[in-house]
Amino acid sequence: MEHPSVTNHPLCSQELPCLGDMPSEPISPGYRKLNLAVTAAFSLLVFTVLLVVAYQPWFTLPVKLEYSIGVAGAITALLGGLIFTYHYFADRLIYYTLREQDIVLFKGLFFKKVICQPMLRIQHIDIQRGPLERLAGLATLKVYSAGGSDYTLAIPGLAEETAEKMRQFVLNHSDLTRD
Amino acid sequence: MTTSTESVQTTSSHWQRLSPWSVLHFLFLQLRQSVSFAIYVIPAYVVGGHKLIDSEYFPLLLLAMGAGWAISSVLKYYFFQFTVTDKGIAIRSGVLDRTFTDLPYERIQNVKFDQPFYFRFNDLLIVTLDTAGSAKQEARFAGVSSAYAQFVKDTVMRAHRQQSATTTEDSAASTTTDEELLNERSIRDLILHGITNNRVWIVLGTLAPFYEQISGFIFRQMNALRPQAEAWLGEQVVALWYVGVMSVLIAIVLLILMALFSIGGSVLMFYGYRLTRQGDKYIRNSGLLNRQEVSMKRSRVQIARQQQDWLDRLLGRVNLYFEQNVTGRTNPNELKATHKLLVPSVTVAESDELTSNVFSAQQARHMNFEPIHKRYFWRQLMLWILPLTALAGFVSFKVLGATGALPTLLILGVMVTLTYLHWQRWGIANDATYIYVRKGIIGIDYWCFPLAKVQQVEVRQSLFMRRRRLSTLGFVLASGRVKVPFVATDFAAPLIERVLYEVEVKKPGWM
Repeated sequence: MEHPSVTNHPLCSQELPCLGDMPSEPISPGYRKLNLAVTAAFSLLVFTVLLVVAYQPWFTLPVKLEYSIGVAGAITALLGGLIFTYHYFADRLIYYTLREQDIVLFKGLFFKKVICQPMLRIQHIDIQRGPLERLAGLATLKVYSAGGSDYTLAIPGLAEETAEKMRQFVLNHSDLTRD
Repeated sequence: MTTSTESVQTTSSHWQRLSPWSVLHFLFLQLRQSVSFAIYVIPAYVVGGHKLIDSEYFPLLLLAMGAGWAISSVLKYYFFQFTVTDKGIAIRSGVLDRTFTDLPYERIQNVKFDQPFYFRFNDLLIVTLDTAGSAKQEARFAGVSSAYAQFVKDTVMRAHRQQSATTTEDSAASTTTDEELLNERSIRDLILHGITNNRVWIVLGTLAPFYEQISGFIFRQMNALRPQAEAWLGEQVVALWYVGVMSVLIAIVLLILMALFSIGGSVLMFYGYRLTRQGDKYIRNSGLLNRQEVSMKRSRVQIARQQQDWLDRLLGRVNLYFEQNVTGRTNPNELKATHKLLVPSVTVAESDELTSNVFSAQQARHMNFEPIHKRYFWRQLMLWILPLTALAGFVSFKVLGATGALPTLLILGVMVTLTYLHWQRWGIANDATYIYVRKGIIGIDYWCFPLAKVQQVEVRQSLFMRRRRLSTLGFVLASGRVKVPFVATDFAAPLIERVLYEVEVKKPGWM
């Protein structure tokens, strides 16, 4: 059962670390901006609430509570800082490649991850847009296979029309209309 | 026993009813529901309800309830109608809440027979039609004769065959419908299975015959020592010792009971186990009280797992699993699940043969496995074993002083040995058709799946692994993911290419 007409550039010619050499596109830079903004805004919000509680003029706080507000503030700053730094470095490293026969996603800061989803095995595909993503004009493309929901390939931070185009390309793919 | 399924012809041309005996089934379902309901009601009644309801009326109440069940069961039977057409199977059911289920043949994945105890005496069956979607979409009709159940199954299979006659390569094989017996399990096998599948308990359970002597000995010794101990330590401490020893003994009794339960469960579940092959279908029949029949189409098997734990290895047995797609199944109960076909405690040779029956020319036990890199062992050592040892050491030195070194070293030794063995076992291999994974700690598991069934490929590398040219490979199958860590990239890269070629270019089906 050979199909000489089917072409697909090999995942990589020699070895895996060269996967980065494969022509791939970064996701929209808006995704990183959105994540950074959301992290910063949320941390600030928590901070403000803590400050308001600590320094409001109406009643004095018990010493214990004052102490725990200080701890909460420190934890917020630490977590916010960590998440911010993570997104700052990691979001730039999300790439994808749409090939004739599959979709490949690259991501990871410390743990590099490459996921390859053949078109033939796609069960269905949809676009998800949360309220914040909508605000930023972004969308997440989700590709489902029979492997179950744990192994759904999700490409975040795509420009709206890119996601729509990709979805259409996948839907029109001949493999999806087989049997 | 004449069943009405064939004879009852309702006014509308094809609609049929189940056997009147199906009332038993509906009654049983209601009873079961009521029992779970009673768990809430009885305490409520005991606490407050008995003031509201006079106990004289109690029998009357029960009678009314019984009558209610009987009437509703009869109604349910009366309103349950089904029809088998050339397109599919349709079911109308429900008394007040009418539902109409329409199942085209191509949506039916699996036909399963169950025989609950209340149908044993007249040999009726419950037929369950599994669909690819959610559990809610499955249809079942209870109380049909085995001949009719077989007829339904044949109809479904014939429809499937007609549909795929042009596409499946083994349609020639599927036309042969004579049954071929592949495996049977004796009571002895099932007892072995019960033992090996509850292994922790059984170690203590083997002491059972000596239990009385041991406990008698312990108590005699303790009584003999008691005066001295009391002089040394004071009465209260000694009383504490008594409580401690007693609770250990009780725990042992419980463990023995558990082991017996495990064996009982195994026999109950797998009594009269028969695995047969009918054309391209594998059929499992088993059960002591409730007979269950699970069938699985050969092309649907995604992976064959030969599992062997340490006790299995000692006894030279293997649990063999054939797994098909799990999507949409929320509660994968190990034993009842229809997506797994388990052949319990077969010998190594039998498991190899059965695996070959499903995946022809598989070589799982004869491959040269590419071992995973030793860095896996070092990583486990650094990440888990040493920190855990440090913690255990800290605690035991605090409690025991200098003798704390002993348990610490013991823990370290055991963990290192087990991890070392685990690392040694873990390996991957492939040939033109299959990928094989070997793993385990003391026993050895062999997994085997066709390249062509892969749904998705995943590669993970930490920065350190990248430098050492190692990758963690993940193959997502419809039955779940198979992960192999720390594989040499020089081995992994061509393998991935091969898998993608197999799937994307040859375009094989996975169902």
